[in-house]
Amino acid sequence: MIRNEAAPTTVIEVRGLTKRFGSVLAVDDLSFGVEAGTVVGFLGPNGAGKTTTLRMLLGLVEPTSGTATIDGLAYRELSDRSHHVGAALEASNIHPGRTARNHLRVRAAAGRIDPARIETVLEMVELTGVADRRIAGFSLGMRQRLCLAATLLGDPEILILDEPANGLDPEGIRWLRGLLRSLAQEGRTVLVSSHVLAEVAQIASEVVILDHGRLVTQSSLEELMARAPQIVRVRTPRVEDLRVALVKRGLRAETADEEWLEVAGSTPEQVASLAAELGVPVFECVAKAAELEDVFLQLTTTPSAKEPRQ
Amino acid sequence: MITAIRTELLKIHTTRVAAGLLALAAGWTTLVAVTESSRSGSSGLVPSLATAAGLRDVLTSTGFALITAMVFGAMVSSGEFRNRTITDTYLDEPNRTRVLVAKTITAAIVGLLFGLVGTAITTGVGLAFVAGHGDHVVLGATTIARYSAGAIVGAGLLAAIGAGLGSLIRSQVGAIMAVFAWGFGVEQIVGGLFHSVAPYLPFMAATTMAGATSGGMPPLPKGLSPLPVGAVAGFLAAAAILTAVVAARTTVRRDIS
Repeated sequence: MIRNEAAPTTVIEVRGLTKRFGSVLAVDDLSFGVEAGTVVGFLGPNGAGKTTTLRMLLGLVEPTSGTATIDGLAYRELSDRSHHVGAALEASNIHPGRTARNHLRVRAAAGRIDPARIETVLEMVELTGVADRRIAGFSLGMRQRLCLAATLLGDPEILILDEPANGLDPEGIRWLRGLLRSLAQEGRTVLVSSHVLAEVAQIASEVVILDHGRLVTQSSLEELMARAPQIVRVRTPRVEDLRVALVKRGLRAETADEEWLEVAGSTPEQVASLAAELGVPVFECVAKAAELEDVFLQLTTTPSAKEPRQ
Repeated sequence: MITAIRTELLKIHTTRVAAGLLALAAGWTTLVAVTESSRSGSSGLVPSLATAAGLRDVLTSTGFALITAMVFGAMVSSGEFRNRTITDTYLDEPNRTRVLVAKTITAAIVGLLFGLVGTAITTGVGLAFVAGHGDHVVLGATTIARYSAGAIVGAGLLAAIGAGLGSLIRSQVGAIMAVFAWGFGVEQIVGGLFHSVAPYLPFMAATTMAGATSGGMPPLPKGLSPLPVGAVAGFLAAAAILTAVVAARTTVRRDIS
């Protein structure tokens, strides 16, 4: 059951959400929205409040104030939940004594889902061959796949995934990307949290970045990319001479290694011209490709974000 | 509610906890019943199986099965927290009170099995020893059936209380220890000191419903005047509801983080 509407509709809406655990403010007046049919990366360093936010959205944690709704309703008020929302929170939330198939049987029974879906989702996550093995013998990656299988049981139109790449090896991460991409292409809405931007950059159209419980930004990946700092890399045998000259001109220049210098806030033409004026030989001078990870780190390591919260 | 109960039954069916505890209850009950039967009539202190008191002591030695039923009930609830499966449970059914009620009912249903296994063993062993000694069965079929019914219903109700207790305590080790501490400690001390209170202590009440009057394992104090069977059943059901209500109003509401 995939939504197919021309006008964008906000399906997940978080407004003024706050959660305080004793003296610790885990989530602080957080607001953002997720439109139907989009894949949104929910990013932030460990301890940023991502999991607490998702748990409030799913009715597992009671907010101190604010609201978190899905299609305008609190999670517990949704009808036909399992066909509406699929959520995978932690790979450790599985009884180790059950087999994978029995785990899915339990989830299907609880969600009033046709048991025939069990084989379908086992195939989707490539666990059919181990379906009758006890979960205690599963690797973390296999448990992650099983979590995703349970999430997909009801063929939901909205997926909420908390760090689904945790425990996956590089091949598993590639597989996960492929799966999420195919789910997104089917028009599903996906909210996927991660503390590594690169994990979601290839599939998300938008990101919500959180730090210390506060919203840092909600933007498209293109907008985020535009914020990436311009860095010029220069290769010269006189690194220190050129660095001092650039700093004197008010530019931020740092030595990368004995041959390379990195200059922020300038262009290759400006740097090369200055080097020519000084008579410093330049072997290479290129603009470094902007990296999202740099923006992410910049946004989540600002001094204001490091202030202790009470 | 039917879906929630079916799901809980499936959860129990797909793990080894119930089977393991049933095997433990069966093994220990067999040991107790065989020991009691072997000792019967061997000295003046232990009545012969040829007497009503001797046969009753063996047939009603279902105490361990009853307490195991309560442990099982506690594990049905607390196990969800130990294995962190409670997250999925509440995602599938966000109405936590409904989950608690379903667990209590399911624990009661499966708990009946503990009583059934316990009474089947004690009755089988007791009657086998009577036959082996060439004695007559001195208790009537109705009396034996009443003991059995009492053990079965008592086990079911104790399992229901256990389910509420497991939701209240949430720590599986804590809940199991609480059951044993209650059955073997608190009730023994309180019941021994205050005889008038003893019939109202849940475990002792259930044991008396299963026909026990004194002795047994855990031991019942001498001179205990049991309540009528109907009253015990009502009292235990009320205790199960009260435990569940307290859990629903306190720990069940807590954040799952």
